[in-house]
Amino acid sequence: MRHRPLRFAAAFTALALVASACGSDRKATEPSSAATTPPSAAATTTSPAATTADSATATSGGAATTTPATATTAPAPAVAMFGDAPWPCGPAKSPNTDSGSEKGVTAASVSIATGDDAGYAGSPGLNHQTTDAVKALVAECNDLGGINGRKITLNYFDAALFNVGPAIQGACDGNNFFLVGEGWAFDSNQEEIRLGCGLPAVPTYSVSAAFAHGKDMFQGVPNPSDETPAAIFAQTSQLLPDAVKKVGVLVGNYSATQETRDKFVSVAPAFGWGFSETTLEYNIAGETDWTPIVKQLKDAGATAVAWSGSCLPNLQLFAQTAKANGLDVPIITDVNHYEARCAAANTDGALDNVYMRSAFIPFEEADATKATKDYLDLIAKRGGDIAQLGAQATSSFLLWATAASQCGPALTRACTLSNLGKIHEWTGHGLHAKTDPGANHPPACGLVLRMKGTTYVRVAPTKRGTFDCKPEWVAKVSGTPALAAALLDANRISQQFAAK
Amino acid sequence: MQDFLAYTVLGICLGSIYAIAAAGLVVTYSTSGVFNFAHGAVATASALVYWQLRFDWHVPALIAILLTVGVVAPLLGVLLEVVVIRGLRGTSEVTRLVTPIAVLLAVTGGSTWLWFSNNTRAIVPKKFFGENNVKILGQAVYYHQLIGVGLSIVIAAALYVLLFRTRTGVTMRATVDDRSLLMLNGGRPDRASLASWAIGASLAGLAGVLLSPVQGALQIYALTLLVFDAYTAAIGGRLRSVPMTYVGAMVLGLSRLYFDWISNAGQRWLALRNLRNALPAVLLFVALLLLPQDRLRGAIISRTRERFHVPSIRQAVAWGGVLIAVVYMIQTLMSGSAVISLANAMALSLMAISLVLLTGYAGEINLAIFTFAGIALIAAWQFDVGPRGLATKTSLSVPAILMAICVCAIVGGLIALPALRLRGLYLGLATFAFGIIVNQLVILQTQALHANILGFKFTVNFFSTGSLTMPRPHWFGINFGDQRNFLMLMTVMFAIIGVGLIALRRSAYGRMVVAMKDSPAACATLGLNITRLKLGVFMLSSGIAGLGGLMWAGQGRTVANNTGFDGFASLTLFMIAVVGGIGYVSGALLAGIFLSLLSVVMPNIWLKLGHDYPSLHWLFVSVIGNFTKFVGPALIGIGLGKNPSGIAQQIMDGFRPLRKTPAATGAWVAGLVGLWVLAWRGVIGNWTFALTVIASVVLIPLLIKSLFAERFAGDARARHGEDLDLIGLDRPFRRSDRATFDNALGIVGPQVEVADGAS
Repeated sequence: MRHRPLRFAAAFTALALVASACGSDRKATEPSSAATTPPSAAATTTSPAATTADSATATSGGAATTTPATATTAPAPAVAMFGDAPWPCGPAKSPNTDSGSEKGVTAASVSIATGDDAGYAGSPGLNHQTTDAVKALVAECNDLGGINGRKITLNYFDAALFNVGPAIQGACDGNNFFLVGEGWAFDSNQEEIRLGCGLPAVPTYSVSAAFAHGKDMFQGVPNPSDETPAAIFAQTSQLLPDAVKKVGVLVGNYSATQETRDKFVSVAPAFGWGFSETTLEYNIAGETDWTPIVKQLKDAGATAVAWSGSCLPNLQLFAQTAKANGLDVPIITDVNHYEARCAAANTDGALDNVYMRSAFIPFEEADATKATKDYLDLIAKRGGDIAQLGAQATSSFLLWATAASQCGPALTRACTLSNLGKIHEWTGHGLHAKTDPGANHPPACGLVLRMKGTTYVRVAPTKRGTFDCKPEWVAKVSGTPALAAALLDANRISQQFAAK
Repeated sequence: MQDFLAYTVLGICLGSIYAIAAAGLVVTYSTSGVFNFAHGAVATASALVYWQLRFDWHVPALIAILLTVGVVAPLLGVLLEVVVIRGLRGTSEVTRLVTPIAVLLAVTGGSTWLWFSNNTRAIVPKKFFGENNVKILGQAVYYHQLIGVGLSIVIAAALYVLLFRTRTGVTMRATVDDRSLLMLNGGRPDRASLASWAIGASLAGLAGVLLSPVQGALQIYALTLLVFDAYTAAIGGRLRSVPMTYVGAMVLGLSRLYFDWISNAGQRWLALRNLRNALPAVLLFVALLLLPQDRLRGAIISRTRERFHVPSIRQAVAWGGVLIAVVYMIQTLMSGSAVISLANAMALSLMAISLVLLTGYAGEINLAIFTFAGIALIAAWQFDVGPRGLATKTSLSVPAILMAICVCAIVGGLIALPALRLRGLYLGLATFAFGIIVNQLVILQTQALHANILGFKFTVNFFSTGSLTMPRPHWFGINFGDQRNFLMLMTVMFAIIGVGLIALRRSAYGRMVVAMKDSPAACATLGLNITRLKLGVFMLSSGIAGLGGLMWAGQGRTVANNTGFDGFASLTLFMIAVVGGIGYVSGALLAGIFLSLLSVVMPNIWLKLGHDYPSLHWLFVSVIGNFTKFVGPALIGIGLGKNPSGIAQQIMDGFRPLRKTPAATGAWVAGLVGLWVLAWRGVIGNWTFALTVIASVVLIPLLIKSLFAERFAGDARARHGEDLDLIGLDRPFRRSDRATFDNALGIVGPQVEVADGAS
């Protein structure tokens, strides 16, 4: 069946994911059996991520510039490393126990589920890079010995965009310990079933507020509805001080892009932005002529455009039309435009004035960042395709594996969830800026990339492998429809399906 | 004034491309009588071929265009005509409407398979002469746009001359006006039809090549939908007049640009923001209502090949019971995810059953079934949940369901009123346009509607956050939040509605409805109130569609505003319902099952196999999985021409022998129940059970027929699969038919053998 713009929907989900940030008092989900956490786990609650104090620092516009991660302790030379921290995989240090009651766990193995929307007929292979990454990580982890000696069995579920119900039910029915590295664009359709069967999740990304604030859900790069990363606003205020005084906002007529617009408008003024237009929307199915929208922005005197949508074909067509009609202003957008196809299509330079935020180290800097290089090498070794979402899936898998391995011989959901709730500094072994998965806060750091021809160049901060950071760059969001629909409780957990 | 001139220039440029696309539609319809829904898909496929030649293989532009527009696209048109369209002779308008929809899905599926199967590269066609542009009346216009304007003028002139000033053109038009008369005069309608499809496809190809750079990176569905807009222009020309089509295209192009101008690109009236996207559909709807419909107004009585038998009410009740029992038994063996797929199929069947009444019985068309699902969802959600939030409501209430049904019935009636004089294709297009309008203005609406009616203030929130979540029912102490319970609830609903529809069909009202389908003019002559009949059928059908849609929403629980409301899903469901057997309740059941199989179950099977056996991933996923997507709809399209009555009819014909062997049939059924018991008790696996059942369903009727051959000797129908009273009408009488009649009449003897051997 059908349905055109939806391939964009999933492509856009990438956007929602990486960019977020938060800062509130969400308490980690404490399972009732948290007290059973083994001493070994309790003693190792620090993440492999660096603390700010440990980081190499520089200054950029008053913000602290940090390297993404530095291991707090130097690993033993014999330990296999991923990025700046040891692999959370290895042989059993002590004999594993098998309670027989823990779903998906035996003394010798642990089963996890993952999935994507690759089967969507409108865009075959959609976001398959997340599964490519998880499969590669599982294979590598098993070669290293597994999770404390338990070999990982990976079960795959394709939601093909619309079939989230059967996919999550399959994951529930199967003997799965956790849902790891999964990314289903219509994840609101999964929550009732997931909560009903008690399947915890460490997904690659979340889209709906219900899942982004879901019970027993942790992400490598959190994307809550009540907070957003604001680094881009502060950074562009310094980079383009005149341009951001009168920004025209242009988004696709799709709920995720509209939510991003709401966050922009709610948060950016505090960082020096002003707006000329905030209600323009384009048709994500395609505009027959972009000139009227360009004219509208031009007539309103927009000095920059804040864009939320897809790179191809929409942003490219908009930029080409803007150029032809004399609207040559910076376009500020999200990390979903960091895409090889997008850059490859920019042969005419129409996208040269596009700036995008990112919380991940660009692949171009793999030589300066071991984690990024390790991700690229791993995919090259095990097969698959590379994408920003793949790196994000890697972060989430490592997050889960870290929490699970800390449980030692007695691997339980309760123990793993407890450990996840205690991880408050996480960089995915150096893949991205520091986040707080345990409390569901997005990164307070960011970098800005600019497209130049068919390549991306870093413009802030200029030092490779670093981010600009400030604690206040995790901005509170209020008054958006998505936030209202999430029905958050005092712990910022969505109650949308909890009452069912 | 400057803005007015600028928008006028842009509107003419846009209208010119619409004109080229619409001209191709006019050529095929005016010469074959088939509205080519696949026109946009052919345009998209041609654009991809052009990109392949020009930008991937670096063939010079002129050669690439000639190869695409002059060779590949016409060949595709010829292929469609020979393989699919030719088989549609003697079929009803519904079948002729649906078959191109199947072709549309097949061509888009094939294009996706060939060019987008790995989803790792962008296909970005570039404008002729790149971004070079010239200022006309102060507005930057690309050279590419000017080429479009020039070509559209040349093509319009050439087509006018071809169709109205040449013998070939007259022959092409005569083919659809009166094929027999043309043949009597020595014309060759097959050749004319072939030529018209080649020209139509060539024009579609040209439109695709011109439109694709305007669309940027190629997206299959986006470009296909863009060509949908050209329908408005074609209808403006009443599908026959090239000059009026050109005028329609200009009106369309200018309207879009002028609306953008006066609405500040949609910002002036936020609640009507998406009207800029719905404008082609609005114009299409208005054009269909206002333009004279002389071709369809008259009651042209023609014999078609569709045949639907009506079961007795007793049979209907029995089969309803069997359905409930079978679903109950099967679900006990199924995994949770399989139950969800089956429930999804049942929900789709509940929506499709509304078409049995509307299309199967009454001969009317509704290409916006999912739109009614969306309307029902909004109505029930507003009533039950609303601003109070989902947490306040643990059960879908009966009043909410009644409210949803009533709202859908009223909307259905409102649509039927202006569309009363429309039939067939025009009615189909009108409902399709209605679906797009509702999608853009209601489903995708982000502004809340505040109203004050007689002092009663209320606020209607549509999909303000992009999705709505519905509670499921909790009735009679049964929690239908449980997936298995909900499946059974839907099954019981389907059985009750099915029995009700058959009872209605057998009533005096049903006979009037069928009479209206056969000949509105005759009905009117006999004093029947056609207006009231049509209105009633539309309202009842819309109400059923609303109920089905509500169950579909309840099955998904959370429905996003871009889940199937854009027209494609409705087209697909309608097509599958016709394939299943639009005149049968069982056809609607099959439609839901097929759709669920094609969209969920089969792809998942191939993907799972691909992931379980990585070394064979290329075979299961890249070849078989994608090929299934491509071949499935194509076979359906071809099959419809051969069997327009649908698959349900074929299945019933296949099982007809069982009626004459009750003992053997009883033993078989008992065997099936025994198998289920073994599977239920875990003695045999589910796969063993499923494969055995499938094998027995296929083989047992054949086995029974061969074992008791003497009982079927006189059953000419079972033997030949056709009605005896139609032999000589549907096809020429053959000498061997004499044996058939002899058999049917029980005249056995040596002469039968002689007759069989005669030629």
